[in-house]
Amino acid sequence: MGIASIFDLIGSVVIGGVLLITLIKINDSATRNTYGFTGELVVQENLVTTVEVLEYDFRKIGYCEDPFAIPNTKRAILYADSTDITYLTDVNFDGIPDTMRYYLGPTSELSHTPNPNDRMLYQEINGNRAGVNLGITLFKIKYFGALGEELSLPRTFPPTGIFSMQIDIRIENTSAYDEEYRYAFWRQIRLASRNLENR
Amino acid sequence: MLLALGAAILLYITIFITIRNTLLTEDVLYDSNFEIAAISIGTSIIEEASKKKFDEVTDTMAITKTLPLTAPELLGTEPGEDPNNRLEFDDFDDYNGYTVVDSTMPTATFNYECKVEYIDEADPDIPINKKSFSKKLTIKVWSKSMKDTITQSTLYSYWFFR
Repeated sequence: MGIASIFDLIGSVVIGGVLLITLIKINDSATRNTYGFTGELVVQENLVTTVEVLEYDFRKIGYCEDPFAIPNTKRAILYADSTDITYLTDVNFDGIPDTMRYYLGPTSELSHTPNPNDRMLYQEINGNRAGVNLGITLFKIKYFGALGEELSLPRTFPPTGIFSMQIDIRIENTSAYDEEYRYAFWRQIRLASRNLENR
Repeated sequence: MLLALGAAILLYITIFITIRNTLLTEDVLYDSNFEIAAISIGTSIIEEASKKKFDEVTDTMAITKTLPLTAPELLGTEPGEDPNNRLEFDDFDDYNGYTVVDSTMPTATFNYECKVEYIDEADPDIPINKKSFSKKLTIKVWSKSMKDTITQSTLYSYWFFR
């Protein structure tokens, strides 16, 4: 074996080694990207789903098929706090007022998920609770009065004086590659229920 | 060694194409994320504006003719109202010309601009330069981080005395 062949062999081994390392890195990067892209898509879909449900339900605050069943819509919101709201509505359009509540559970409930900040969002209709984990890490409501002033919380006794609301929602992946959680944010500023007549 | 070099070149070309596609996908995902936030801004302004009175004159009186309404060229805030503070807006057309740079969103800094025009109910896409019982609010939201501008609009008609 001549000296040229030895150099050839060494060169090939070096280039092969670089290629191997590159391939390993590429594989890692591809996995990271796949997780990231899928996670981002899931986050965005979850956010849209959550917002659609909340917008639909919050728009009906104080609504009843029988308008005389909730005669004073100023009293439709029964309780309001930054992560908790209870109000009267008509879920089934049967003319009978229902009590609907949305609230956020503690992070300890979802300690089994890798994301330490995700929490359950609960919907309670007449005391029947349903919860969903869509990776919600922020669900915060601010309340405003008729003049646009921010109201102090909690509002415990109707009429609560709430005229409009600002809902902030942040959704993250419940698990992610290397804990790189993707997130999507929604701010529905002053979602004014048309059934609230506070001025 | 030449064969190994050829393999390396082929591999790096493939890697380059893969990275380019990855970045394109990333770009699309980020763009849609920003667009979701932009839509939330547009929806919020529309919600807020729809809760206001139809016109300054309909605050205290019912009207049956368009004559008392604000003239098309005067749509916007009235004297005494701060055009940059929408807390002072009391009717739908006060949003005309309202322009904001919103840096409160965690995703990006957004700019938005509102325009209110009279429209003919029979052809709501075309603004008219005369008073009518319907107004159209168009809001454009954009950001340096976004490729496109989000445009949303809503119609508001005077059907009854509030």
